[in-house]
Amino acid sequence: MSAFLLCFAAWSAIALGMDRHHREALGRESSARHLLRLRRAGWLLLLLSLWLAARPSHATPTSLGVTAWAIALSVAAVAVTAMVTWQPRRAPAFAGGALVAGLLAWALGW
Amino acid sequence: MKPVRADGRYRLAVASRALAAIGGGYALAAGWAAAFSLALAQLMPRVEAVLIATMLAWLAYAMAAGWAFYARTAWGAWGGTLLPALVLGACAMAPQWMGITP
Amino acid sequence: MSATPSPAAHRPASTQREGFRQAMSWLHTWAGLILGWLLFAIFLTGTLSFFRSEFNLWMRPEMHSLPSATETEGAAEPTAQAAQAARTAQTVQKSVDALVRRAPEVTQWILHLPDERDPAVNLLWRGTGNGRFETLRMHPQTGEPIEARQTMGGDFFYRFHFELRTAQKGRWAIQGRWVVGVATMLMFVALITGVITHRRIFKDFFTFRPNKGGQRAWMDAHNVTGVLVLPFYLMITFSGLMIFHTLYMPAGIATAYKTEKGVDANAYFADLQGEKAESRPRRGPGDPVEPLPAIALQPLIEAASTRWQGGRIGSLQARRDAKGRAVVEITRHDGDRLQYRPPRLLFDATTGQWLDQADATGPAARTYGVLYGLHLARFADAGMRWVLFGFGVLGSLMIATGMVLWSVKRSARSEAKAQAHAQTAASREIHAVPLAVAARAPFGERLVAAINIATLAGLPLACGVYIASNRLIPVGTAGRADVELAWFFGTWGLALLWALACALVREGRAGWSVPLGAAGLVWAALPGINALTTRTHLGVTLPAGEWTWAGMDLSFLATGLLLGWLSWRLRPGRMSRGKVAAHPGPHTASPAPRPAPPQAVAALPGTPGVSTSGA
Repeated sequence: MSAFLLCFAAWSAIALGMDRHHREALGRESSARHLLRLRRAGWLLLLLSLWLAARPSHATPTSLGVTAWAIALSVAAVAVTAMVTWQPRRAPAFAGGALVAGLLAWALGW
Repeated sequence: MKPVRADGRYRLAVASRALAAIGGGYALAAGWAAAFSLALAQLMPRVEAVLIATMLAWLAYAMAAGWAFYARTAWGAWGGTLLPALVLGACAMAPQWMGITP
Repeated sequence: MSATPSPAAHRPASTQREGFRQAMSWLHTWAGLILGWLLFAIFLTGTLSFFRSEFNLWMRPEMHSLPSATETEGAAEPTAQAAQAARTAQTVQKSVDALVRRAPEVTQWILHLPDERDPAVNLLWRGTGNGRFETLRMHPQTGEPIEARQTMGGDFFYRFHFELRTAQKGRWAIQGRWVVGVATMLMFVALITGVITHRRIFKDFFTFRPNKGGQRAWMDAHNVTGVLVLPFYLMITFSGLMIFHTLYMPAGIATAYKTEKGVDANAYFADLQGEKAESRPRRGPGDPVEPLPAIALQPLIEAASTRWQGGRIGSLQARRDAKGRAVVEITRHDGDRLQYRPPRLLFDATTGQWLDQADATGPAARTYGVLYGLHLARFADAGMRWVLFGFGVLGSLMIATGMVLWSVKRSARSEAKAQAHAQTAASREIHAVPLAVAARAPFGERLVAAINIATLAGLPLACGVYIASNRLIPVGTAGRADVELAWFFGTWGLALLWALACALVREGRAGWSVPLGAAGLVWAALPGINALTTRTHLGVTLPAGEWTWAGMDLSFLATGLLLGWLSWRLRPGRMSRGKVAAHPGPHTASPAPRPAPPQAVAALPGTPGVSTSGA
């Protein structure tokens, strides 16, 4: 669950770091540098979520953790696409919420 | 761009490339699998060698198919698939011909 | 995507080479188009196969009264382990005893223990050296065989998926696997060339504009379903090629395992599984085998449980090895790790002595095992299984949107050409051929359009009819399983006839609307049919909280509603404003966004007189 939420936040950042989606979500243009930072943050968050998912626990060996992450990655990508297609203006809020929820979920072991 | 004419020569060229991709590509992949299995088997257990070679062979097949349609001419398509296939096959058969292996 | 012919053909004679991307675009189109309809069928049945166990259960309502499995995971502590081993031993012994009473000549049996997905004991057995296995399903506590209706159940989707099985005891397995292999390789090429060709793969990563209608919307749908789940498609396709690599690409084996006497394939198979070659004999059809002796199974089960520190047992097998010695092989449950196959312990059946543990350990062999395991997804729990199912639906959509996109593009091109012709004719004040005839699409396009309807709409219909037939065909019918398959293939054939008729008559969207509507009706009716013919319907299973059973009925209903909605959107007579952006497969419970198309401009070449079949 935490993998999905973190990936959702990450993909959202990447999406919002693109001209078209940024405009649809926030109603205004933004500087190229700002967009680049958003995208970078998104990629970093993806890497972080992978690292967190790959850490072996008593119930889940690394291989299963990474597999679950790869699956969550695609699910999150689909979810973000749905978000920016049909509810672009809510996208930033959902992204922020997912980030918090994701970190919380990981801390609680979900 | 010149208008496309779906004439006989064109169809022949496409068919030729398709054959090169499907048949020539398979020959290349199989040749690769054979030669690479033999080579790697000197360094590791046979099953490992065969698996690595075979997994890579699929990629080789895909690349050969791509080449068959990227080559400038249909002849080039065959040259890029059948020739390497023959070379690889020869590599795979060489130890046998030279009497090293049964 | 370029629908133009290969770059090589229309280049000027000079050595100017057309772009790599463009060549790969051409290859992508044709690799996808040639067997796209078959790929859709393979992908769809594969997707349904994720729930093979559940289909097997639902299509045998006689199994409803079985108690749920008690062993759904391994035991942690020694006392719990011992208790679990004892219970398992009881179940196994009762079932095997029942088998031996029925068939004292049994020479080999394979027993699958009940688990959270299947409450029965599944016992495969044979009395010959090399013949087909018979299957018995036994009650887990009494060991008595359960008489369930004769059906292939979910195994039909499974076996059609990888060997195009058309009959319960089909004999064309190898040929079917070859055809599937060709389709798989084409899919592999299509995936790779698709990535190469997709110029804006990062920029358009999240881009889906159903509003735009027309080619753009179909293209977006194809791109989005293709890119977002790309790791899954690459894994599924490549692992598919590797699962049957001994059939498709044996050159490596033939070279590295060559001996004076030929190729030692047995040695390769043994190495692949991490076992010794003589433990699993390859017998010819006429080879005599002695029946199995009586076997004390409890000590073996206890030994296995101890060795695996409580890891749960998935199945047991008794056979005679190459030397004729009776051996028992105990296999761990295949849901407990990623790598397939699970480890197996070999015991001497008569002395009870432990002989060997078989498990592939080399890195390449383990990689192969992980690829295999990812493809089968036995490791997945219920939630993950639904997600993977959703990925399968998206993959089917990817293939479907690709095929429809081609049709739509070609229609648009023919229409543009026809209009250009008409204009030049008019400008020359020549009486042009009536627009309707001049605009008739060429044969190839109409054929593809017909195949599209027959497969993309006909297959969901056929699947629904197959499931319905399970409830409607009387239980005692001879060859019942094959009759169910006849309903499936018959429906698919009817859909093809319908589609061909539409292609001839220039029906337009009724071509899609009718089979999709029929499919919607059939799937939605399944819970009702279930209620009228069995005691496993929602009225019973919902209050009892039996989610395996109830979930199936509810999913069928949802699928029917979705297909019906799709059919409604595509009905003819609807002004060419609405357009559906994508064509879903049967199940809907995936997290995939169901494209709810807002008002869209005509995607279909809707000008009067132009063939709209196929789009």
